[in-house]
Amino acid sequence: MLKIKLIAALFVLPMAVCNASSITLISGSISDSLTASSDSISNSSKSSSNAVKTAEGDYKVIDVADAAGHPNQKRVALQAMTQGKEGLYLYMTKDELAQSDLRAGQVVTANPRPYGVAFTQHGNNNGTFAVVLNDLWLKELNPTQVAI
Amino acid sequence: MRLLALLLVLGLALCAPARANYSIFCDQQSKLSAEQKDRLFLFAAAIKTQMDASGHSLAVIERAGINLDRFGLRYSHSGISLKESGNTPWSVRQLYYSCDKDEPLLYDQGLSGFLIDQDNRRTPFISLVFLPNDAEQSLRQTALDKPVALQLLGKGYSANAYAYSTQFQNCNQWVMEVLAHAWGHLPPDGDLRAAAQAWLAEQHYHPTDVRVNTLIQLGGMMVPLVHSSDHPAENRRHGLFQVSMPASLDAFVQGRVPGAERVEMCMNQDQIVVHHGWDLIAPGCVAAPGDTVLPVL
Repeated sequence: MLKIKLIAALFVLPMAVCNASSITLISGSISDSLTASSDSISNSSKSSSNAVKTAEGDYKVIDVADAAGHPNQKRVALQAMTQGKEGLYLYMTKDELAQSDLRAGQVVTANPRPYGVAFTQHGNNNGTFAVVLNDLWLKELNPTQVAI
Repeated sequence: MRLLALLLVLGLALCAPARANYSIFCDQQSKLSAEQKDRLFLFAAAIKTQMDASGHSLAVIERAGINLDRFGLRYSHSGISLKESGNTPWSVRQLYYSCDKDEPLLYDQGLSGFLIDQDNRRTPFISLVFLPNDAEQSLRQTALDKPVALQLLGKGYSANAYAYSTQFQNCNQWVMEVLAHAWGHLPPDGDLRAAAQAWLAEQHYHPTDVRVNTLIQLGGMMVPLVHSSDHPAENRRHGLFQVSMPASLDAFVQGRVPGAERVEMCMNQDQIVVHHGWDLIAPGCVAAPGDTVLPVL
């Protein structure tokens, strides 16, 4: 069946001028392949918005555990390496965590971005392993139907 | 002959009346790495900075969605980006074919969503067309007028819709008809689509000529969302499809609206290139003399 799809695609794609897959693709992205979400990060006061604003600098991974209530997710506990700075919880899908090879004891860096935060691993050539969007940027991803 | 037989078999397989027919379009998944997302969002931030600095309230925006290199086309999808629309800043009003509802619909989508929803194997390019005040304000008013915008939405979608038929419509055709309604000062009643196309014909709008061989035509007949019945028989015989594409949209605006300006942006491995002018940045996102080059971060 896959072969049929591929052969047919050779004929169709050159003429498919509007991206007809967009709606499915975007809504799928939010839950499946896009880690960016204000729900992906929190601090001890459980405030995701505040955590996105304040996350910056180096953090040590102190625990990687299953995320309660989210069977496909892991919760990464991060301890700030700057004295007095609050720790963070970063929520990642199991697939994303497997790709990052993140383990307790490693050091990661939270890099403020215009859209939120990018997390990078020390000593990992892959660089960014997770991105987290603030609320405004998160709202930008989902299309809203125009209706009267 | 064996190939023809294979195509006929495929046609039978693909023409069964099931939603699965749309799998070529609808079952694609975006698998962006965190690194790719980071770079695309940074590119989106750079685009917003350019738009904010433009002093305009609207831009016709185009993205390179799929590979149309064989037709010499970079851009496939367009919409109208509005600084203030009740959605997020510079949100894009556009036509998408909804796979969930099996029909074309209008959507407002934030700029980063518009950007991230494209073939991630390709270098990201974006085109912005800014208009002089009068043209900008009339287009803005029409685009934000929901009853008019929705009346200009066709009921049937075809990726390769003929530009002078109301049987089908693609995303770029909707933008063209909104432009026509705005700049032709057309009445808000009657058949808005037909009136818009009549005005475009009076203005000598020439859609993009897409020439395909018989084999591709045959393949196209076998799949949904691609049609040929709306195209003139003479054109079909010659393998010619006249379709609204970002390239013909740009050519129309350039020819009809003095003072309109185009900005093209792209992002390669190391930098973001900003180019002013109606010509294209070189393939691979290579800066030319006079272009602005920005760091990705």
